[in-house]
Amino acid sequence: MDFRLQLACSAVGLAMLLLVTHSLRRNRLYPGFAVLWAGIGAVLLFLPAYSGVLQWAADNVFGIVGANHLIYALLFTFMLLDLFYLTEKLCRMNNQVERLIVSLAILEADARANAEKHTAASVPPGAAPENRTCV
Amino acid sequence: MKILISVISYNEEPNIEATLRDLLDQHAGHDIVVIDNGSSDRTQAICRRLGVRTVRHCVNTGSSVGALISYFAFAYTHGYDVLCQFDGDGQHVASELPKIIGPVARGEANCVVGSRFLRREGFQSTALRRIGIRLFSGLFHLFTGQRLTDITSGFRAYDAAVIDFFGHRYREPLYDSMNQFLLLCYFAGFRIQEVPVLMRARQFGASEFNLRNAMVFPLKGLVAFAACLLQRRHIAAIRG
Repeated sequence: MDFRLQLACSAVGLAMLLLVTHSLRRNRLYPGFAVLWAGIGAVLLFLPAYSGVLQWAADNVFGIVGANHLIYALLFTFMLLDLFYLTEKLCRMNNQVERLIVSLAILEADARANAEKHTAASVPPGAAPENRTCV
Repeated sequence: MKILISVISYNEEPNIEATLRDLLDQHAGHDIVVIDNGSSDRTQAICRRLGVRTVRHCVNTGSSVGALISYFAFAYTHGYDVLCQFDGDGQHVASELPKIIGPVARGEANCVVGSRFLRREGFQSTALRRIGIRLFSGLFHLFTGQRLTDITSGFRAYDAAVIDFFGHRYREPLYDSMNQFLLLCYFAGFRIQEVPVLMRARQFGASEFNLRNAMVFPLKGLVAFAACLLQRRHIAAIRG
């Protein structure tokens, strides 16, 4: 396996671990995601330590010529899986946001109806204050 | 019996006043709520002037699914017995409402769909859309054995059981408010009935159904249909 590729992988792995640590310190990353990315960082950082195993796997298990190509294939597979996972997460969050919008809209409608009931006696019709929403 | 008519609207300023006046004239005894899916026009002001209650989404939820969740949640939290879905674009006729409310009120069905194709009267939609409707009606028939002619019709009435289910118990994502929703109703064990109704062409503005959507809608609909089939046991389990 090419030494330059090992060096690049280790550098990317180290950068990823530093980025995860930084994000955790700033409270920008959930622990679940942090574990995932730290794991990937560690795998890349310590790549030179098991490059022989990769070479063996490339030749005997996957039938790929050279461990370099196996790394590319593994990274591409990981990216696909990660994208799928994030898409699924996005769909779930979209559902939650939709439900929140609905709850907020109903609460606002009820609050407006209550306010109108209470002000009806003191404020002449048509002079009600502009309704305020989150927009 | 508490009946709620929910009018779905998104930037329907040119149509909403006539739609609401029609409803107010014909159904003064029923409650009306406008589900405003984040309109940026004067829809809110018109509703306020007419004294109609509005549930306004602070942002547009993209599809009519958000509006569907809204009116079910509203009907559930306010204890309605019957919920009617009515489009704000002027296509639905207020005087036709008793036709869809009747079977629900008499307990003959949990969900009633108004179909413009049963008697072939009034506005019959575009040829492109009719192809899509036939495709999904055929699929619905294939998987349920029940024949519905106007599966995408938004002119519907639901009883308290459906309101309870979708307004409270079913918290899963909804992908498609029209086709998938009826399939969900079927798998949840609700009785669906179709009645002939008259519909009009929209007076002002353009429908969201354009050439791009003509290609995207069927694909999304098919996936939503498939998802619903895969979830049928889960849906039945939620119903209990």
